[in-house]
Amino acid sequence: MRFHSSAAGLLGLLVSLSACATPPTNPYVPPDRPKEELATLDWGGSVWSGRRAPDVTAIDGRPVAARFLGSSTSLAPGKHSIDFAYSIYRGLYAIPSHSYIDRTLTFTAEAGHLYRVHTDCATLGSTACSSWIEDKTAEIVVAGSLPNWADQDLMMRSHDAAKVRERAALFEDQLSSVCAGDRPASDVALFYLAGIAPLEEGDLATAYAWYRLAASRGDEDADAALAAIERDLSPEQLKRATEAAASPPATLCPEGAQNEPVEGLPPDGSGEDM
Amino acid sequence: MWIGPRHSASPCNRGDAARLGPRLVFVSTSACLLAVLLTGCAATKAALWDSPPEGQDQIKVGTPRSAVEDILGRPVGEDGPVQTYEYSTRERPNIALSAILDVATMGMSAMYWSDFQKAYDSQRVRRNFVYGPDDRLVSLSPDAADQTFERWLKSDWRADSLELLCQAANNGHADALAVEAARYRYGLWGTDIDPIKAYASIGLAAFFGNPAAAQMSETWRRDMGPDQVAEADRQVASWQPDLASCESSETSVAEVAEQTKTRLEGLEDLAGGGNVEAQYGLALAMSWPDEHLKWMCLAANHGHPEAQYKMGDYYRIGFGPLDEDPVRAFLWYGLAQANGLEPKIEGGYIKTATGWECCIDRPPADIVFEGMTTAERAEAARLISDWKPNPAECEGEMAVSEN
Repeated sequence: MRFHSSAAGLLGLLVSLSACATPPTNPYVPPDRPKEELATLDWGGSVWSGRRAPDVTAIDGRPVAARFLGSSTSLAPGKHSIDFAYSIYRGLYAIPSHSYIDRTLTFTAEAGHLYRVHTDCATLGSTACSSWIEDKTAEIVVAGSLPNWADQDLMMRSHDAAKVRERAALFEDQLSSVCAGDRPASDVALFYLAGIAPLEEGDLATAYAWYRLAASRGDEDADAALAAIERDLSPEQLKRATEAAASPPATLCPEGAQNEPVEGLPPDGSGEDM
Repeated sequence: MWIGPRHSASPCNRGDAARLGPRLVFVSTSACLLAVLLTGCAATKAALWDSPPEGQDQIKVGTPRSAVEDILGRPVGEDGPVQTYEYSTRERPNIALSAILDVATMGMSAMYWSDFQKAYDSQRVRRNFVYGPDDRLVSLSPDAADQTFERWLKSDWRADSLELLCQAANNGHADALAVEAARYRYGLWGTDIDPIKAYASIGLAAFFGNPAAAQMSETWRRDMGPDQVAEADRQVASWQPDLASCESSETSVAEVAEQTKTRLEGLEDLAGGGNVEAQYGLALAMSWPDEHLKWMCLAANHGHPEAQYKMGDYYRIGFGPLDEDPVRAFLWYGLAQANGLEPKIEGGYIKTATGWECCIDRPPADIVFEGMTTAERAEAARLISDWKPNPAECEGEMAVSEN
């Protein structure tokens, strides 16, 4: 009887606790896919370890369960926005006088990578806080900004990685613009001609194909460049260049881009990829 | 556990410890050590703090590496010609005041140890400097050079902002130098071809880290004479940034733009007056398809063989607003050949009964002829023999096509 009354009391306590914890509507649910196809987001830590731990409150606008239920989750590869909050502590850690601040950071997750949400404040003199998301696998920062007291190597690595990402985005953007006819095709040709980032090597044959497209759109400079480039092409390169130039722009341009036909080439059809 | 001697050297004991019991000695010594440990934070950090290096204002483009390192010390990182230096930017805090702070706060500063560390780390910066082949400073801000180059890449019409390319190249930007090399090698943007400048620029691009430059340099070297190579190597070895040349480049770009505008206006006048070379030139300069086709058609009608050949191409594949028409394609190819243009063999797709096939390895006129019916061949032969210039068709043809 005594056992029953204790069990009933415990059950009552659990029921009342569960009533207090209102489940969030439309909560974030980790994707049901193999682990190797997912990224991991971690926001664990403790004030006692010297690392202030932010609370992730929502992922892609969908609320995340309370912190005591866990401090990491899985993400599908792709772009995500992370809402989180953190405290700024003033005074002794044991007697915190703090305020709560909300932030949102956006980043692109890659499968198999571990990402950690950080926040750090300096409270000596004026308070300064920074929040960032670090790709622990690649050891670079992928969102937010590091504080100026952060590890200098991490800062420089992240800076370099950001430059690489920006250049790749610029190239993709210009490629799309050229294919849509909004930019001269020689703009893309130049990347291949001079072997400039994000490309790791020059490709005279591909440059030639793009200049052909430019020339067909009336670019007089491209016409002049074609003759000069031809002189530098070996017989093998010339063969490849003519094949590439003969390919419809559909094979030069990203899928879905609006193309204009190249002089001497069919408006559609198949060709070799470059 | 350490028990202090009766006559401890600790300044806290002040020689009267002998009168106290061993337990009191232990407690007082421990308390003293703890106090020293707790109260030394601000003073210790102040003592460790570096002052900014003196003579920073002497570091400028052209300064030898040895002089830079005398001021900033050894680099903490190296990536080819880019050296990374780390140094302090703020004056060291006053050690005496820091010690007073430690005492006044009675050990509370220990609680702020991590903040002291952050303050210390914040005042240290890392900067990248770029050195040229002669070990002199080329750029104090490779990031700024990178931004300049990106601005140039993003500009709507790159030919109009070559001064940005020039500035980036003169800051030792590897990609900008590779573009400059291509510019002189292939005569881009109306630049005169200059193999020596091209070879020197690609050599510099390789030195500053363009991954493709070494291979290009090797290829380009093959068609240069030993004297040209020696001259280019000399230019590389003694290369120094010359930003003033970029300013003059800005002027010349404006001049070129003005010349181009004037030239186009001049071409329009000439072309309108019936000058066939001007009509062909204007066709190449005009945007596709309306103006381009109009002037190309006019030039072809006035007997320009290149224009006639292009019209043949356009009708062969049904390009732009023109419908595919093998008879008219053969007509124009035939007229071009009759005007002395050798048959061209060039890449391209050709339409066959089964679809488009790559690649054209024979004169396109031959391929067109093979695909024609007997009636079409007869019609083409008749058109060629009866052909007379008909400039009016260009306006009409375009107008029909646009509809």
